[in-house]
Amino acid sequence: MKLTFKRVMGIVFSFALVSTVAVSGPVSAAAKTLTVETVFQLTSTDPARSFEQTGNMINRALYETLLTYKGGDAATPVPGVASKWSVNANATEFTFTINPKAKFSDGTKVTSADVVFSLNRLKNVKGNPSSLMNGITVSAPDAGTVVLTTANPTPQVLAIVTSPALGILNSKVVKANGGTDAADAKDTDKALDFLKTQSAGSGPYILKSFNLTTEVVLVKNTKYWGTAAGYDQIVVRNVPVNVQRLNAIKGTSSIAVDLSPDQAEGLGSKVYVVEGKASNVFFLYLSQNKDFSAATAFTSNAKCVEAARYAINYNKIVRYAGRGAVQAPGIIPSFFSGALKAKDAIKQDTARAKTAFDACGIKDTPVSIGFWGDGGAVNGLSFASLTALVDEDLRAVGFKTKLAGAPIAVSLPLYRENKEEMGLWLWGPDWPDSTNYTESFSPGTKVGLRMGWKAGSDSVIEELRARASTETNTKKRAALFREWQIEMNKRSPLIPLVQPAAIVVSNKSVVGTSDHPIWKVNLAEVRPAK
Amino acid sequence: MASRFGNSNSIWRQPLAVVGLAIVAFWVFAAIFAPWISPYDPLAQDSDKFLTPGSLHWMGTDELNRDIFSRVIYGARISLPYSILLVVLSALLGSIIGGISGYFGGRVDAIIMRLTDMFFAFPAIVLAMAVAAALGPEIRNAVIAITIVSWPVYARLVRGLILNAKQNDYVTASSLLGSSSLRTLVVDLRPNLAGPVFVLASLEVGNALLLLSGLSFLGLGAQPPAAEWGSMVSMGAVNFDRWWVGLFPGLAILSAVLAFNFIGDALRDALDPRTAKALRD
Repeated sequence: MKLTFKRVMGIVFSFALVSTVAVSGPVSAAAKTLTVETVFQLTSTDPARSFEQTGNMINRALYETLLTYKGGDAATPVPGVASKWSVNANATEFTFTINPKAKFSDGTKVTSADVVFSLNRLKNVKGNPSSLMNGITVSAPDAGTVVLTTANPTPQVLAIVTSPALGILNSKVVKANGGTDAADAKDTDKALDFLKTQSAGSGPYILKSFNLTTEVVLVKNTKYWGTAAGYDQIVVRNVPVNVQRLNAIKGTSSIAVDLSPDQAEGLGSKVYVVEGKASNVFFLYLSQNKDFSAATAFTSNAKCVEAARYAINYNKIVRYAGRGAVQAPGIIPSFFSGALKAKDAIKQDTARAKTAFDACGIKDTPVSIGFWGDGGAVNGLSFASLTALVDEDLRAVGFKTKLAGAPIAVSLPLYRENKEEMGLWLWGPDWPDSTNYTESFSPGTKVGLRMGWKAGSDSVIEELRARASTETNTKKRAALFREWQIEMNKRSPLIPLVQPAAIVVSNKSVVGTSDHPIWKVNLAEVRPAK
Repeated sequence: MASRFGNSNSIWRQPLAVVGLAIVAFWVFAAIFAPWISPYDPLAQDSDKFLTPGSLHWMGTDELNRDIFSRVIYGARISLPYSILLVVLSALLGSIIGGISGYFGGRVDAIIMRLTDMFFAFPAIVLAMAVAAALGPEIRNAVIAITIVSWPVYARLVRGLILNAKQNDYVTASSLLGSSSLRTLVVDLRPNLAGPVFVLASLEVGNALLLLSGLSFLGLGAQPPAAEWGSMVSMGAVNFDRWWVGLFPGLAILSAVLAFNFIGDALRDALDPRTAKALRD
């Protein structure tokens, strides 16, 4: 056979084509890259400043904490950087022994000085998660020991130290790049930009690239001191829920994080669906800041709150939320200590709501409901749809409501600064313990103030909060949490609505996916299926 | 003399124009008589969610158990009047600015035209999104946002027409007789503008409807629970395997935009034959 130019080119082209197909097959490249799709709730990958779900998920893989949890568990802490720990009798002193094997991604050892630096930096940069360190003092008696002390009994410290915000940074590297743990770190710490380009932790992955709107790429930490990472690379992509669903069906993503039960139906045979209860609780509140507007002069009235509380058709909301969702009987989710039972939940009582509405005096004064409006959805539930459901019930008893959804960049500050008349939001736990709720929703606390509910507004609830925060007996704590919620349901401006189902969809090519209340998916535990 | 609507370019002789008029008439009828046509309250959440189209719910129900047919019909009450309103506002604003620019010329003209250049430099939807986000998501603010980004096209047109018309002897004569600038603009020049501006406005209604629906799709226009076509399509996009949720409001947008474009084309042929001929050639 004569070899003409065309024939030679044909052979070369065919060879190239076959080679390309062979190299790009599912085994070689795809098996070592994990693609996680989620709607970004992300501000940075600086542990001291990141407090959102996506940030927690990423930082959990980049940084390690003193203690952590396995799988979807949020009750039993297991060793992290600390191999051992002890608590004194009245839960005011917590001693941690650093695992001598623990080392950062640059190969240097993790020391108690790094822990002290990281925790003090978290406290002093005054970022959103800095409140986790309220009342906690950290010290290092020697290079391998860290002691956390509190003035009052604080049993929840063991839960708090699992938060990715308390991730341990390599202090030398961070200091060299502008970081500081000084008291004035709020103004003098300049490490934020550095920590968006590189990580400085001891986790199984290191940060390769960070883009706030598109994707964050992690690569394997080849010097990891524990069990080696399952993937060479993890790509966490910002993808709308409908596209997450489409990609799950096509099998082009490894994990989809944000689907609702309805959206998780009919995904085909390529995926596993991990189903559980979300840690998020959606709630409605009425502003207690009576001087803010004409409407809040009335929403701060207890009768108005009662009218709203009994106007709502909770069953309708649960039906909308889909399979696995439950009415939130209180603000503490079902799997935490002291969670209320379904029988304790508020039931719709339109007659009572109308009577309370008449007594409240708001009459035809328009009242707006703020929410995350530009397609905002968590656990597959749209804020706009939930607000529309509540709106119909409030209107039915006489409220002249007006929906005021806005992009998250606009609506969230309004909520946080107590500039809403009513608001529909959700709360996901900062640390997996019921004290997170008593310490966040009581009068004068973080969300309490967002609702305009100042300290001193309700002595019974505030006393229960104080007792719950220092009680060390497990049964007594649970009873206090229950009592606190029952009182909250009677008089607080907070109306818990629904605890949705949590769905994580993973391709059958991966194993180890579980749903966690704090970091959603522990990327370090996810591995290729054998 | 044959009337403009009776000459060879009469819109009645153009099948697409008749189709367009019929569709617009249908939507206007639907908007006016929505309470009588709709079988259900468009906001009522008393059915089951995601029912497929059937005899009880002709276009099915959405995720909040609402009847989609009723919502599509009621949607015409928002989409049509607001689209027409914002075209009228844009045309008025653009004509005034363009008139001032063309009539006074010089520095005034240069400044105004550079300003319009700036507006043309930005994609309309991006600029409208920025304005709507700044003003707050609401249908009224969406109209203001789109008006702000839509006036330059009228300003350019009117400026050109004024520059042409003010060369005419009767305009010079009017000025020599002592007419004020305002009188010259309103009385002498305005009749030259009405036809082309009307044609452009009729062509722009479809675009306006698309922009308005686009802003609502993005959550920056009509707020829930209002029945608005763009926000309904947005809900359909989230539930894309429930095809009926987004399809019917999408078809409503498609039909209305097409209809306004057909009418606009026909009006251009009837009222502005020179442009029509230029386009055909």
